[in-house]
Amino acid sequence: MSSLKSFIKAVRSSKTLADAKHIATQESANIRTSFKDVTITHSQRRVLISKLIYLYILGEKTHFGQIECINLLSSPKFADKRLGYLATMLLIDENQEVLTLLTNSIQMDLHHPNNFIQGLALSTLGNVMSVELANDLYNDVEGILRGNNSYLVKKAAIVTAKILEKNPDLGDVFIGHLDHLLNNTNHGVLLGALQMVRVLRYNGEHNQELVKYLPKIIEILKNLVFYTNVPEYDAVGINDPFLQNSAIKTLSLFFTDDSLDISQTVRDSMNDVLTAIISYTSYSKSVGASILYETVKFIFSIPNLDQSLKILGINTLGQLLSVKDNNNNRYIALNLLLKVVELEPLAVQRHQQLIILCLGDMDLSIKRRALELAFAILDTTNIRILVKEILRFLENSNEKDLQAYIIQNVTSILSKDELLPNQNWKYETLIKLVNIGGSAISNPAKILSLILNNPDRESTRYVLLKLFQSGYKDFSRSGLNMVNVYLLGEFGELLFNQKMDEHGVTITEDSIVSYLKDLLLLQENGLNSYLLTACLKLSTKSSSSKTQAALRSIIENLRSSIDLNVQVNSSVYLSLLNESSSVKSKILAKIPPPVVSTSDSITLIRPNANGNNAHSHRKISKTEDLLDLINDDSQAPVKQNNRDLLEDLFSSTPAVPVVSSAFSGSSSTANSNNNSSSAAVKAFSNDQVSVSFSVKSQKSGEVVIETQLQNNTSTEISQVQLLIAVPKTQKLTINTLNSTSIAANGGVNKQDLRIVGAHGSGIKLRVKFKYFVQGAGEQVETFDYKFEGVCL
Amino acid sequence: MPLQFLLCMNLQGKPRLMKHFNLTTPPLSHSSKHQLQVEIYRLLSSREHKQHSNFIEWKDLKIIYKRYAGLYFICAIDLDGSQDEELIYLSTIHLLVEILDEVFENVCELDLIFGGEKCYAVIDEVFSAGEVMECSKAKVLQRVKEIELLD
Repeated sequence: MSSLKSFIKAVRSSKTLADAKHIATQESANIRTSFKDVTITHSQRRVLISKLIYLYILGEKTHFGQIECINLLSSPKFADKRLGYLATMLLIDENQEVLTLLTNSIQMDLHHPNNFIQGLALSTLGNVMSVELANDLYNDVEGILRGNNSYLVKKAAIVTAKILEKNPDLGDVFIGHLDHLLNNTNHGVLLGALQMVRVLRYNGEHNQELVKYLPKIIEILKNLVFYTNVPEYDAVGINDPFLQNSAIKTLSLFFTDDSLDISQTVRDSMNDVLTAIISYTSYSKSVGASILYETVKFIFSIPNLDQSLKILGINTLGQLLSVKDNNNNRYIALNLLLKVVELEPLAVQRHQQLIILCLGDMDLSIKRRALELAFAILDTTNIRILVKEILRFLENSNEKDLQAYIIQNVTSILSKDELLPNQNWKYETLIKLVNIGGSAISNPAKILSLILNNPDRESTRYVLLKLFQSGYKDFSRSGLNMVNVYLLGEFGELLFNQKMDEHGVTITEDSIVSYLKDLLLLQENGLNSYLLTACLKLSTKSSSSKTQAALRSIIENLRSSIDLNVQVNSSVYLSLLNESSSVKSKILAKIPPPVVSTSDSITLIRPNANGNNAHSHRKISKTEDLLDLINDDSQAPVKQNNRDLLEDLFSSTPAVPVVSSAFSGSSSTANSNNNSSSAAVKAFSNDQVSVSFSVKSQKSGEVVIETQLQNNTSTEISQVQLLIAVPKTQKLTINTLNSTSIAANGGVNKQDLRIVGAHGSGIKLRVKFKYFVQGAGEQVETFDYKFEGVCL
Repeated sequence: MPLQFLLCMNLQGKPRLMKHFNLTTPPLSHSSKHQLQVEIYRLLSSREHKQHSNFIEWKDLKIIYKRYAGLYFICAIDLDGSQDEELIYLSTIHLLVEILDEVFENVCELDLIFGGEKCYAVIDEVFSAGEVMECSKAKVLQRVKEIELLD
């Protein structure tokens, strides 16, 4: 049998990846055969297991060696046990049989006379802890915790914290041990004890008992800060930063909670310690900075903060941000500022320069934080400079989700007149926003409503002219196109005879019509519905028959659009064109300016959910979720706004209901056409499955809906179960699924729902969807879905 | 927040050490561990030291890494529970590297390849269940020596 060394050398000296793979597979086969050989010695077995560890790091399969690892660790020899435990921790997976065998060995070894072996068992137990193990072995661990061998006690303390994490009911058993653990001088033991305190605090059942230990923890922290000369734990002049950090973290769990009964004396000594940390810790080294950051974060999270401490916090924040500028500091500084901004916006505003600087950073997480902060500190004093920087950011950014975030936020800032320097600036900024962000605007409703609300015709003309000039030359920005087309429909007459450019070419009906025709060639579905309405509205503004014919031909052209709604609308519009001008002028009058909602919070608007980059989108919503916690109350209005009528009016599925109310004759048929053949609508989707609904048939008081479940993964999804509820006034019958599994890679499974209820009532579903994916276990998804425009 | 895993790989993306601490809820399969390592390498290799921070938010993880000569040392924590203690984790990585450096007297990539077991033994003395357990270099070194004598 070859040695580990020669095996590693053989793999490393192979010329190609395939060669290396070949050697590894061959060795893997050899190891398998050797395991079966009962005559091999223990030291030979150890070599085999060492090779297995190397195979593991190479990414080769090693599951066949798990039982051998367990056999090895049951051997009485120390060397065998050591390697056995080590390999088990690396190679173990969900194999239950192996876990059971391991549990037995751990239990025996926890009582072994050799404390090194006890230590091995404890380390392993910490890594594989589960509820069952916690219940089976807590007695054994408690025995070690009672002992006075600090090497074992520190390991046992951390394992205890794990036990309490898995089974909070065991708190009563262990809380008494904190007395002697926290009085231990060994830092390892203290680290473990603090970890126990934190877990008990999270479990929340022993808060008042834990409060008794606070003076002790404060004392530990004080000792660390004042007696710096302990070479053993020294890290660049700071006494055990890990323990300091752990103590600060633990204390902050208590002092940030108002409801706990903590005496004033304890609070005072806490404040003293915090002040001491700040004055004794140097922030020039990153270890010191990390402690200071924790301290400042702690200070700002204390409710009813002491004034002098607050000022100290603000000053320290300033010092931290002034140190050598590197990306790690930036990242952390911005994180801290995001925390502080809610409480002390003015203290954060002082660091505006840093925030602006970070907007230009290369690192995406830094940019994202800087952007959030820029919006958070924006007020009348800095709006000009910040919006300028934000727009510059938008210009250079190519992250879809950030673009959408900016557009949404800037738009809502522009709707808050009290923030803005003047109206002129408002429209200049709006023009810039649409020009720069034109390709990222997916729903221009808010932007349009800003323009529609402008009472001043001259500045509307100006905005229109500027946007038209830039859109006329360049069709690449879909958002700009939509805004332009819509505005031409509403205000096209304002542009007639305006100068197109400095050469003095004037804008005529012809140039507008040719612009619309060019846009028609783009064949964008969202744009097409805007085009339809614009052509219809323009036709009443023009007296030239040539223009009218051209506009009609655009509408006619769209009758063959692949988008059903556009098709329907173009038919409706064509018949509308034939109506007498008195009817037309009523229907096609200018729409009244929509109400601009100003309840939006500047900081918290979610980016549009249609970010193409699902990955980074998830990230941004993560960071925002965090913020949501702080500013919960502003969430509700934001959500409502998204659903308001305005959005319906402008959304890319065009305004069928609006036309139909004004023109009931042809549209009711159009409406029902629309329903009975409606395409499947995706109601829910994640990276594993998507659920879509389509209306199969519909008669008065009864609807049959087909549910389609699609598998987005490359493995089969099994045990599919679909639970659906409808409002109490309706009755639901679900056909059985044709199979409980869905084939991999886009396999589809269908199920019909029949809903019976009062005629005219809307359809709402609450769906609970259970399924099983190989490797990910059982999944449960719940969502609500309301059918737009479909009634019983 | 406990570490989810520790990882060490060279600049070509070859893993040298990989230790997962959370083995229960639910444990990653062998192949997904390696998939994870490959994806993390892809992330790291696109980052420039001068232009990026040492922290990445990725999927549900926060990854904190540092490059020492030809090796990346990486640790990962749960993103949701992370209390923004990036710097202290960076110090943790540094502590581990310092200890390895003393154990192997100027540690280099080859030491990690041929002395894998010893590295894991060191890791087990510094971390337990993903928490930092011992931060005294001297104590860890002494312990590792004692264990070697017993073998």
